[in-house]
Amino acid sequence: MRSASLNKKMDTLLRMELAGELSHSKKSRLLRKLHANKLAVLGTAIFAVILVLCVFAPIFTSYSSTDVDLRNRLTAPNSTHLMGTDQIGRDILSRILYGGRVSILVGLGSALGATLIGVSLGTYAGYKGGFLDATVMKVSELFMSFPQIILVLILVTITGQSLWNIIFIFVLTGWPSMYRMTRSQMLSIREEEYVQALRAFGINDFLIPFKHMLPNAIGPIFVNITLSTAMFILQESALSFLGLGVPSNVATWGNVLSPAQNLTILRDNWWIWLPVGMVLTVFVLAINFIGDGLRDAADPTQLG
Amino acid sequence: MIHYITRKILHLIPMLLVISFLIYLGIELMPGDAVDFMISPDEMATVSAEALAQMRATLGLDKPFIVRYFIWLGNLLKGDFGYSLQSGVAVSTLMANTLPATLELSVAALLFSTVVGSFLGVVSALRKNSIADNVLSVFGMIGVAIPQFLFGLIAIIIFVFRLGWLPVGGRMAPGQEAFLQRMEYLILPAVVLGLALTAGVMRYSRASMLDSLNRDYVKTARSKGLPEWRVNLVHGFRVACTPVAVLIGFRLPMLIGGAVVIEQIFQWPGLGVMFLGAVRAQNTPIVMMVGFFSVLLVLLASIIVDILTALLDPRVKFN
Amino acid sequence: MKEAREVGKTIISVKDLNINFYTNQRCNRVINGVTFDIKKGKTLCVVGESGCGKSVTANAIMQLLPELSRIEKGSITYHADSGDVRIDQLEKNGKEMRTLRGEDIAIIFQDPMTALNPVYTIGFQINEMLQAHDSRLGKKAATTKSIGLLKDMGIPMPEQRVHEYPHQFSGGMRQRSMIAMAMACAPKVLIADEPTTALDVSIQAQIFELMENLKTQRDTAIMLITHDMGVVAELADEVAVMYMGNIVEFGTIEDVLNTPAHPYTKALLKSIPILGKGKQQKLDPIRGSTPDPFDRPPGCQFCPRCDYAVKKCETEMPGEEVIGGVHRVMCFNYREVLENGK
Repeated sequence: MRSASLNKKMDTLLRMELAGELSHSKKSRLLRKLHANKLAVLGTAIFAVILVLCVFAPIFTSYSSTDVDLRNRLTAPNSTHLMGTDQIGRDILSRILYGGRVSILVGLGSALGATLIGVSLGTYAGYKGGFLDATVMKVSELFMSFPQIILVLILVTITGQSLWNIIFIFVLTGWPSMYRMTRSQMLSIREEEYVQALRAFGINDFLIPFKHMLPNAIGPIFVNITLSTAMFILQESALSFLGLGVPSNVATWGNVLSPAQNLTILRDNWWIWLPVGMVLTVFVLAINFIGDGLRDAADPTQLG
Repeated sequence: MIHYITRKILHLIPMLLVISFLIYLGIELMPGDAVDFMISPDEMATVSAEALAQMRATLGLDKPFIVRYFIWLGNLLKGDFGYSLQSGVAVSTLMANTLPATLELSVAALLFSTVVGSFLGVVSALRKNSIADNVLSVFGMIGVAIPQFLFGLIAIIIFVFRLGWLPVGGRMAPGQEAFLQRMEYLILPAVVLGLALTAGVMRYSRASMLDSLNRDYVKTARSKGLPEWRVNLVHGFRVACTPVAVLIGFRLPMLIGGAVVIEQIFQWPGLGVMFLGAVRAQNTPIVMMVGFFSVLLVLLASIIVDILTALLDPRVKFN
Repeated sequence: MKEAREVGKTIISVKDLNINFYTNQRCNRVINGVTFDIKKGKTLCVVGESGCGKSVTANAIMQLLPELSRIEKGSITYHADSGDVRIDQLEKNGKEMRTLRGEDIAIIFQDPMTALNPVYTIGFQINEMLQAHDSRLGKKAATTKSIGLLKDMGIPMPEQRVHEYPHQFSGGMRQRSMIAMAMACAPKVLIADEPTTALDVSIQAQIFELMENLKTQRDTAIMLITHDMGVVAELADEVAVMYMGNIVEFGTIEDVLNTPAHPYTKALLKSIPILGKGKQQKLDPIRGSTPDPFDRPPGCQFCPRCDYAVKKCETEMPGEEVIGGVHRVMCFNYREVLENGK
């Protein structure tokens, strides 16, 4: 029947309820929410640690990410090179730390850029509707019918590889989904009564969506920013891994991983790819935790 | 039903036309044109401007943009996709050679993700908050966070080098044609390609299943005296299927895109590997044609998913 | 030989039932000692506001309570032909309980649109019920039976309808199909949990006529859950008035309608608007609102809203007092209430 442990838990709850121990005061609500979102807190901590390590890289390593030292190629981790060196003698640890700066910049920058464009378009077009909305929708559909990496690679072939080209391309391929999401939020908010009221008052067509409607959609937008950041970091790493992303003279996490395409290096020189891979995965995981936490916080239907 | 399908396919055509236009625009924007590629840089210095102009005229490169677009479109519809700038082989031939491999990989990955993802998701939902549920949940989170190519590398290390169970790279050993013999080459790339989708499907089907199990019709099923397995499967899972199918439809482009990277890592001789090679060499015709066809694949796949949804949920057809 | 009619025989006895819900890390004492009988060929109406526990009682009889809940005390006994069965002691989804469900006791729910599975035809769902209790029944035979059931419940063109989906039916037809499904294996008890709340008033009457027929023609014992006193007046043979997990008054329909003994019952009766009296009629809502289950009044649960409350009511919950026959009440001042009514 019911498991013994479930029965015991129920007995405990019964006892505590009868003794009046279970009523919650308003003060502990915040603590309760934090407790329920341990993962988000953990994610924020990890994110912060890695961010600090990368931003303040010079403090943590004395090497530069580009100095070549052919006498010390492919050395395993030791006391001078904490993470070893790669196939042309560059210190791996500093490549990870400095590379993190670029990867995070690309990820966050592209996410913010795509959000700026996508949200602005979505807010205004979603509110106004009509020809503008239909056109932008069609354009976004066009962009979204390409597998993203293929579209990115086509654009890379046209524009050439550089850090800012990559960010530009990411923004260009990333705005449609932000636009779609904002637009669907706007469509439902548009039906609310206060919007009709504002319209009746003659408030102009820019103020209504941006000042009055947008703040109500801000929750999902923030969630999407975090998840987009994670997605762009992963995309950049895949591109750079293949040598088609950020040019190889600039260190990024993907670039650092790139030599592992060679099966010999993959098998024999684990320090070249495993630490970077772990940092990358953990960082993206942390961002996902934060995103999930934000989503849970914004969603009032999620309870115990 | 036929109506539904025809309608959807007709919808495609204007979209494809616009995309073809954009693709051609992309071709035009690429640095250099056919003539530049036909003449090596050394020779370029010796060839006169007039000769170049004449070559361009012969190839029709001096006509206005719109005319060139329609010529190109006409060729496209006839099956002439241009020629590789590196080898001179017809792009259509190259694609015919590589498309089956990519389809095989993608379909295998899709099947794997759908079946394994749904199964694990349903199990997690039925054993909510158990140890199994929490472990699977953690795997799901890692599966979504880890870069696919990294997972591929790790998989190679474990299964090829450490355990020696599977071969590395390529689609088959010389002489192997039968599918069952080739399976050992397919397994690793397909699982790696399907990883992110599996994690996503697992998470989503868990949520969908939990939602379905909470609904009244599940209670009704129980009240009829049906055994639990039937309640969960025939009633709970069956209704939970539809949103999961829709999700898979949305994620198909990622599967096709992911194939590009995975094929490279495993040296799987498909469209992706060809595409990457072409990107590196600025081999415009191949790059653009593969791009165009990837869109076609995505759009076709989404129609198939729409049809599937209509089949799964009787309320849809009658909308 | 024709079976002797057994109208009035008790078929389900519930004694001192106590049920707790353990959701959201709290303990909610939903049912606090409820006793009643369901009798063959009679309709028992359980009436009360939302949250009083009437649906929980119904679900408890079918053992359909949610996972995080428990029957703490009391018994639910089904008096089968072959002997008494203690439902509360049966394994929740075990073989015995599953046999009872549908074959002996059946339930229909409030909203037929959500209670029916949208992806299967009506025929499939009724067949399921039939085949679950008769493993030898094939698909064709089951479908024929289902068509017959739909016809019995007054659904036109049943041969066509049986292959259609729930969303293609109107609200009233859906509920009829639910009843057809519930009655498929001729259960002795039918529990109806607010069967007409989601339907138009005109359809309500049809459904109730259907249920009356079941009662008179097949001697089905009916337990009808409702919040509508009008429905009670129409259909009930016996009435149980519930408030905050207790049956505060129980009696025959004449007892409760003509001589209500509990202030709550009286207030419920007074609050019904009378059809035909017009917009100007004075509505008498019950003052106050149902207490938070986690913040209950210390004494009688109805005390804060009661016109007859005295000091004693604030500190002590009244026990059950028998007035006469089956008429019983949980109130210290019931005599005053009865007096006032005369």
